[in-house]
Amino acid sequence: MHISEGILSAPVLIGGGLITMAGTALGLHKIDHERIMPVAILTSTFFVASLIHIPIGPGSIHLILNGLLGIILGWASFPAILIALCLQALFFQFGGIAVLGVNTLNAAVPAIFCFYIFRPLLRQVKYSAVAGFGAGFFAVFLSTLFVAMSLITSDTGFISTAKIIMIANIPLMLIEGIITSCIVTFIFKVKPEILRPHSRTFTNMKTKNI
Amino acid sequence: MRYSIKIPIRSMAVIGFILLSFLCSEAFAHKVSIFAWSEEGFVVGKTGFSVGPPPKLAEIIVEDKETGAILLTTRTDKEGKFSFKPPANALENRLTLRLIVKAGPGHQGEWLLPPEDYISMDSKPVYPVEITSPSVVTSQEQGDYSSHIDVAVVQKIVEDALDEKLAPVKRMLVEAQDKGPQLSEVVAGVGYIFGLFGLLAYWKSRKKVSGE
Repeated sequence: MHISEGILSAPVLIGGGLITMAGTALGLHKIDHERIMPVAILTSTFFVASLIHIPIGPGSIHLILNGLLGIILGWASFPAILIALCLQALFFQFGGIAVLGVNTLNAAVPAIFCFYIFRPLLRQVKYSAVAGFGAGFFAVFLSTLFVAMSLITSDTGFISTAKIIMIANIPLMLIEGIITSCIVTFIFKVKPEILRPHSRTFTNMKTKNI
Repeated sequence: MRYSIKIPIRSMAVIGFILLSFLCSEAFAHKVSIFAWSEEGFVVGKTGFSVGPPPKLAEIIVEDKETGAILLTTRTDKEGKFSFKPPANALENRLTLRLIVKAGPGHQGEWLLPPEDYISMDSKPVYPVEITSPSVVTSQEQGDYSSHIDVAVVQKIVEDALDEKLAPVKRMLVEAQDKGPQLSEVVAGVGYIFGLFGLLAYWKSRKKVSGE
């Protein structure tokens, strides 16, 4: 899902970079002091997930886990994904520094969509598995659409590019759905507070006041 | 209250380490590699992702590095290999070739091939005179080499032979350089992430203190 250097045109690169800068600034602003560690851990998870190769389907694909980041972190997914992709570009030459903005945008915006669509379902334990699967599945689905849209100016055109990437990533959508569902259900059972930051902050404030 | 925050962090750390352990089985990179060398008058090359199956039937574009003019296009076979005869134009003008592999939407890699890497003694158009002259000399006057051997020609022949013999070594060196993500890099990356978020925590705590 990393777009290589030298493919995208300057307007796409600059546009992607600007939106990523704005999203990252907003994400950093929204990170609560108490939630920095979960953000760091999920950033590491995203950083490592791209190294896990899935030998299924016609193409070569790897885990993304942007749905997991989205449903847990919300807007903090932007800085998390930016840092992870930047380190991947520096250490492994995945993508590149010039395409960093577009690659971050393609992973982070679907993550935030999933946050707004599926996070409300996490209020009830019976929906946690469905919400996790939905977040994992649709984050990859939307990312493929965003990648195809980024490549709209390339010679292959939007429809054919979208079709190729979509077919290659169908197994990944299902796998990410299952993985995200398992992780979210597990966190819900072990410690649901992490999925309800507002109520926890409220409890903290109450404790402090007392 | 402080204790309750520790548990999810610990459980998430376990998930992180489980994912990390997958690395031992198989790693994969979306970085496309391509390298090429000369073999018997042909340019042959290999493409691949850092780890994992190579790109099959991927398009290879050969262009002039200076002008960007496309000289020819070809495709890789099922093993990610390709070969082509260097175009006459490139041989005559000793062009540096830029080989670009397009491995699916959004993925490409490139390799620069300087003229000395693909113009060998098998490519006759380059120096036909040098090659014919020593054979004439040796057949006619076998007794006295020193007066007829052209040093430049001998040097050229030795260089070409060395280039050809060294081609597989070059390929091995490139392959060794391009061996994909290493565990040390992964651990370093995770370390950087925690360091950066540590800085963020420090910055936010300072802001909080100054705000109070």
